[in-house]
Amino acid sequence: MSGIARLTGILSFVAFLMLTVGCRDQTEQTGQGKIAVVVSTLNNPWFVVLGETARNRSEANGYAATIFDSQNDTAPVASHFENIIAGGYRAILFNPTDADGSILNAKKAQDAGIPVFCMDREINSTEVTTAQILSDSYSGCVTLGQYFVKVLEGKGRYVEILGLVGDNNTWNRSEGFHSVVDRYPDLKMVAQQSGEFDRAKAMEVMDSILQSTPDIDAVFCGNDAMAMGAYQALVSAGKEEEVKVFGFDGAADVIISIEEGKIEATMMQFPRRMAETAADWADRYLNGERDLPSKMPVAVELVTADNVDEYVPYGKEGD
Amino acid sequence: MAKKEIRSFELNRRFVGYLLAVLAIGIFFVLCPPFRVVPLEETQSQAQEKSFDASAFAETFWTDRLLGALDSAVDAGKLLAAIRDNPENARQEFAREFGIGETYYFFVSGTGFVHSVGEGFANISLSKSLDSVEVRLLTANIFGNAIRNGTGLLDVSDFPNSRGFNAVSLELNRLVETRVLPSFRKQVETGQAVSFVGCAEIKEDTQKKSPLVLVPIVLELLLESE
Repeated sequence: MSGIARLTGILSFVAFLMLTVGCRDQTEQTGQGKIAVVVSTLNNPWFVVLGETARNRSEANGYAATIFDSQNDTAPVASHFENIIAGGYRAILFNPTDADGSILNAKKAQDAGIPVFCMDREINSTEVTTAQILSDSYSGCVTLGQYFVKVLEGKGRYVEILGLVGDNNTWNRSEGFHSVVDRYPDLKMVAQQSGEFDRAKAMEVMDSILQSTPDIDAVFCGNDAMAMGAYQALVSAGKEEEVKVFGFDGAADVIISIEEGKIEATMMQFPRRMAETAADWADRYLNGERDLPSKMPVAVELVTADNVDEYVPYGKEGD
Repeated sequence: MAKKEIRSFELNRRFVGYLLAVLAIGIFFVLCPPFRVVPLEETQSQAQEKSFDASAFAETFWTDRLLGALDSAVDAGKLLAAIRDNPENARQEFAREFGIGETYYFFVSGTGFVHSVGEGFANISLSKSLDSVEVRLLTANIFGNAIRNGTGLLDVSDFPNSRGFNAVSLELNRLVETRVLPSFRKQVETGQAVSFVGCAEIKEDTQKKSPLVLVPIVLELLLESE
């Protein structure tokens, strides 16, 4: 009997020690609490950089941070938000998948007292977010459109591959591009389809377009993943030399492809800059600051063969 | 025989049960369809319907706010002297920033003389001797956000949807193209005196600060006596 009692005592002590050590470890990691990083997809390296930078910066600011992958689908976003609210997170760094579909999720977080900071992608309400730090996609595509006109000398047939139709970046990019290109009547858009910001989907779309409309001079893609997909389809069709491809993002493979003369141009977004700003603003908000701007555009820059040496994937030399 | 009838009755009952279940599932999917196929164009037009009337907004902004704020533009001569002296100080004192990045804007006014006229622009000299070009006025298609961002009168945070904010820019550019430029283009000649107000977009890494490239808001060709 006394042996059993001694064993129970030892086990209880060990359990107590484990709990104490565990708690101390947890307290060190979550000194200021937990921050959730909700990213639209981890299937695209650009968003991996965005999400990991947000997580790392939050951790550097003293929080425990967890990345949630929405897989480019609104359904997981809703369940992520429910888990985040139930899990006692203090702030959400949010890269939405849908500008309208995400409003309700952000509202739920707001009602639960959790501030939401959008990164890169917008949601159509400033009422339910604390701040939105967004690439200035429209201005970027005005610049890209002017370069497109210059390269094509104001004439030719082109294809546009759009991103996700529910995302404002898709339309800001398209509308910025068309605000320039549509003023040149000899530039004809012969096809416009969604590639859902996805490389494989864009390749499939481009492949199908090339079968029905083989005679084209250029392709404008709403992001770099789709630009790479379109380029692959052009390679398969043996048209990569004659068709110029334009992207948007500043992803690693496109920067290399510009250096190699495969892709004509992209617009460099700065995912690290946006993620760090969002993480820092969340920290400032949680420490009592309340006068943060509700929207903060982040400029994007044209990258071509002429200036590609000034850039690195996802940013600028020396960033 | 009785066993056979019972078995047949059970089979019929099971069949009716399956039929009812299939019917119930069918009715459920009719009432609550799991997905709906929507053409891309329809989605886009729905989104546009939801957006506000950017054309009306731009019109009201132009008349009620922009034209009343022309006095706040910095004098071109003063700005260029400040830039020559210390570009960073000039940026601090006179530029309007827009978000995070290296692009900034000047809201500028002045009087000068037409040095030369090219395709899509007019070069302006601030001195009558026409020995240098300090300002270039854009006179063809207007692109970008110089006016929207340059005056400091509009704030992106006031727009819940950035597409609306961008559409305002497009409409302001259209107003420049239709109201400001046609008569100027028709009458402009080298040597004429001109009064101007406009906005310059400066991209720190790519654009020279002189001549200042302006998207005009007001252009007035002056008689020599003026």
